[in-house]
Amino acid sequence: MAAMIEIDRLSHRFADGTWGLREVSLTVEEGEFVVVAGENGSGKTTLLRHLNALLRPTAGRVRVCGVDAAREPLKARLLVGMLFQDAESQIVGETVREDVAFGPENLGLPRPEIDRRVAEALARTGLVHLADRRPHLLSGGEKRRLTLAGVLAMEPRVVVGDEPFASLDYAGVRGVLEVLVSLQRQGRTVIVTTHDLDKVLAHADRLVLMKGGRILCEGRPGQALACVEACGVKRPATDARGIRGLTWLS
Amino acid sequence: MAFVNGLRPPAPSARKGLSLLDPRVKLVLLAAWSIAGIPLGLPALIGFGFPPVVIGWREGALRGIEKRSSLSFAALLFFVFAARALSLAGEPLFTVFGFSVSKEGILSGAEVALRLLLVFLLGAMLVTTTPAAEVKAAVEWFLRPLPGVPAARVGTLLGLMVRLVPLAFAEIESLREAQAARGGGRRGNPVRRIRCLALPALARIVLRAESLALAMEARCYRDERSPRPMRLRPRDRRVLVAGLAWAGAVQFF
Repeated sequence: MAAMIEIDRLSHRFADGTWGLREVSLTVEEGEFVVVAGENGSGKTTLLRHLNALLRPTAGRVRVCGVDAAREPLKARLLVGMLFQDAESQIVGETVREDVAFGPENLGLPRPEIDRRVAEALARTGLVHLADRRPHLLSGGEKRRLTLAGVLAMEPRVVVGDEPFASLDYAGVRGVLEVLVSLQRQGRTVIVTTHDLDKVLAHADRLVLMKGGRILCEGRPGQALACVEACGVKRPATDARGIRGLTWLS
Repeated sequence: MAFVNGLRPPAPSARKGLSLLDPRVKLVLLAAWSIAGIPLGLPALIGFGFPPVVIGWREGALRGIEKRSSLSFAALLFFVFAARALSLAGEPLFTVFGFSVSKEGILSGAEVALRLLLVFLLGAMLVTTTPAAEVKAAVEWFLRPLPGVPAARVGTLLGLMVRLVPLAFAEIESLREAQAARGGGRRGNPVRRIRCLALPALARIVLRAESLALAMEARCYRDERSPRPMRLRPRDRRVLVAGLAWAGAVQFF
């Protein structure tokens, strides 16, 4: 598999002088499902925001599919779709359909292509029946799926989710997880951050554990699990089936 | 826009009649009729405003006005009427709380109030028959030929305003509830109560706006976006010509 994301000695210092990331290096291959875990303030969100150039490195470099994210942010954003932690603040449109169309409209696509992408994204996230609904009337799970539809309509090769399961009920978590897993099956690269490994670890190819702006440990979930408590993350309770048995999907 | 101003925009599934009219035509007629009403006296104003309002009523466009919005606007109209009636000098009819009310004051107050009412009803007809995205696209279309005016940015700002205002209200409401849960409602001084609510509310709204800007950036926001398709059909042209003719003709009466 080819490298989709290459992070090379990435450091980020905030305006107040605190370090968000320190010399982080990571390679994510195409089609991989990567879970990034760590306690609050460990640098997960900062790391994700460098993938589509929402933040610029203090030092080091991020390349997405060979594109230097800091030098060509628009290209990087076309390749990397991002789900923010707070779904509400990601919604721009006055209706569900308009919100999903926001990204493709930014790309200046012709109207038939926008309509095709919107229809596909709505179908994929199970929001077709809510297409004309106003976003503020949606439930938490539906809002999260709407933000996912907005990202899918951009047809990115990498989908990045910053705590995509936060504040969701059981059905909401399953709905989002199903879409993420199906995206990976189609060959897209998926990266999610979480505190709660129970929900997603069964589907991960790799677990990356962060602490204090550094990667403390990374590897296949079975191997990296030994370090989770040291990174301030609760170790999931596995049964005889091991990590695969943790799945929330049937 | 519904939750912002008490006017319900049309449900996309129930769009018919005025809702299907090109938004640019509606904007032009709103502007033309509002201006045409300025020089008219009371009888001409009634005659001028009657047909469009009846059409709006028959088309169901005025049913989207919510009661609370009607009541608050009625109060404003009454205030305007009373201020005019009490302040304009002329032949005194009777006295209220020491102020003499003149015949000229009543007629002038009624005229101003009616003019405002007409603009409100025409504006309500626009909002209740046109989704905000279409109004935004029409405004953008009119601004595009003007040099130095960032039409796309203005359009996006309009859209964001529609999106952010209800969020701002929600933020304020959640703060108010959180403060009430900690006994904030028991504070006697209303100025202090408002200050305690306003500062954190402002901070949260600014943070929310920042997150929204970041999310827009992540979705490749830029000024050159795909324009919304708008087509002026024969029916739109007929309505435009008839509407402008009516606004022009009434000036001669």
